[in-house]
Amino acid sequence: MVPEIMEEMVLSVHSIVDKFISYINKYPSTLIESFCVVVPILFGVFYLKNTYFYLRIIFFYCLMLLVMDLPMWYLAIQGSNNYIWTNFQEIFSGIILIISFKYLKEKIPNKIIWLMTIFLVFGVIIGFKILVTSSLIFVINRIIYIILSFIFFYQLLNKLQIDNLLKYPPFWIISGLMMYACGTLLIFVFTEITISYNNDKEVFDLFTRINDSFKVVFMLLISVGFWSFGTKEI
Amino acid sequence: MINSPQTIYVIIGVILFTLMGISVVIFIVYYQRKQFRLQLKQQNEVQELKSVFQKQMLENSLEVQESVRKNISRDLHDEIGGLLSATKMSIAVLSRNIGDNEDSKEKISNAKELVEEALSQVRSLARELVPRTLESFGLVPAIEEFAQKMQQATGVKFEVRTVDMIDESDISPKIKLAIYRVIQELANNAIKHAESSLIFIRFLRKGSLFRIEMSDNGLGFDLDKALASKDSGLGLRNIQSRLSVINASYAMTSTIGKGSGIKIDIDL
Repeated sequence: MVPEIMEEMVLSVHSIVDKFISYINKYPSTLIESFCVVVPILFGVFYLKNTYFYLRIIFFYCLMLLVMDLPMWYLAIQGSNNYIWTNFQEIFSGIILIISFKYLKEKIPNKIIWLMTIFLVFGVIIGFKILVTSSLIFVINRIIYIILSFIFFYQLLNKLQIDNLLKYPPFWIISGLMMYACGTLLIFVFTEITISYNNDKEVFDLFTRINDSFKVVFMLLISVGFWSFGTKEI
Repeated sequence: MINSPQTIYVIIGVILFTLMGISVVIFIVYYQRKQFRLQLKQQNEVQELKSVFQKQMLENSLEVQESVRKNISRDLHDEIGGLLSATKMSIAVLSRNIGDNEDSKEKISNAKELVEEALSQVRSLARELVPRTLESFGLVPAIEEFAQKMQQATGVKFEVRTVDMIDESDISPKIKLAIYRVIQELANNAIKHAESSLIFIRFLRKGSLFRIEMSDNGLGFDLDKALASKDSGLGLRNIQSRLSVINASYAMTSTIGKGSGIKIDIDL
């Protein structure tokens, strides 16, 4: 009896590994996109001792991405649709990143934070989908990120409290966020001709890779931000 | 199709948006640095102006101080000295007219002695307030005279040395007076607070450099504590102010139980 169960377990593990390898062969950039978040998490663990609240939120954001990626991987390997998780991850990302702006030294007015939150909620209400990418939420999030980043940069230049921007963690993080938002905005505006599952595979792969690359850049800039915290300039 | 116009347009759009994002970030870094440098420059200019203004105020205050000293000295010499001289003469006339009353004669003689003493003190005070030797003969002779008088008055030994001949022709009266006052203040401190028995002063001239060294064998003091103290730090701060007005650099040293020293350099 026991050897049979063991044999079944081994077969099951083999089957999962096979599916995983076949999935990675099909979408190689997804693996990098999904696990690049480990880099800022490691930097955070090493450098973020006694850090301030904004960086804690960003660290939490990275953790959330990693944790929510796990069920997505599981479903992908099982061959099940995991878009609901992608959409949920995007909603949580939006909420966390909007809130993070509230805790910056360059105070973003509460009214704007509230307005952006309402904007996101509105997007979620009318644009949430289960079986496909909720592109409206993705687009709204990117517009919100761009607006908030511009306000942050405006406040940064207006107050001139930072001697060296390159040693200021929020600068790196928000620069990464803005580039990520700018670079991927059009991909989600034109989902139907970019990353829709019904599209030509080549096109789908191309835009998925572009999207994944921007996420990798964003994660790397978050890591640089965490690392620059070591040379503190809060 | 990867090369369909729609795909290409989206790719161009993505590239343009990305470049826009990168440009914004580069602009922010460039503009922030430029603004920060400008702000720093402005702050430095304001600081410089403040420092020049403070120096001017200090200079004016010291000038007023010297002018007041001169007025007091003149008033002491001319007014009080004149009155005391007149009193002395009146006493002399009175002593001739008093007759043979021995008791009165003795009292008048005492009064005359007291008036002479007061006159001498007033003249000495008037001289001390304005060092006339400094104006007439220069810094080194004035310091030598000052040292001689202090030695006579207090018993503290003074050694004034000059390395070669000191040419004072290009030293401004403002610098000479400041150095004179600084040495006066330091000598008073060495005698009053440090209980020194020997004070050494040395002048050195090397090209445009004019160096004054002064040391004593007194009790010494804690320099930082003295500067922080409201009462004892006043004299030292006064010295610092005078030296800063004439752009002199200086190094002060003091070891408890081993005396103190100062080295003043003036680039003429």
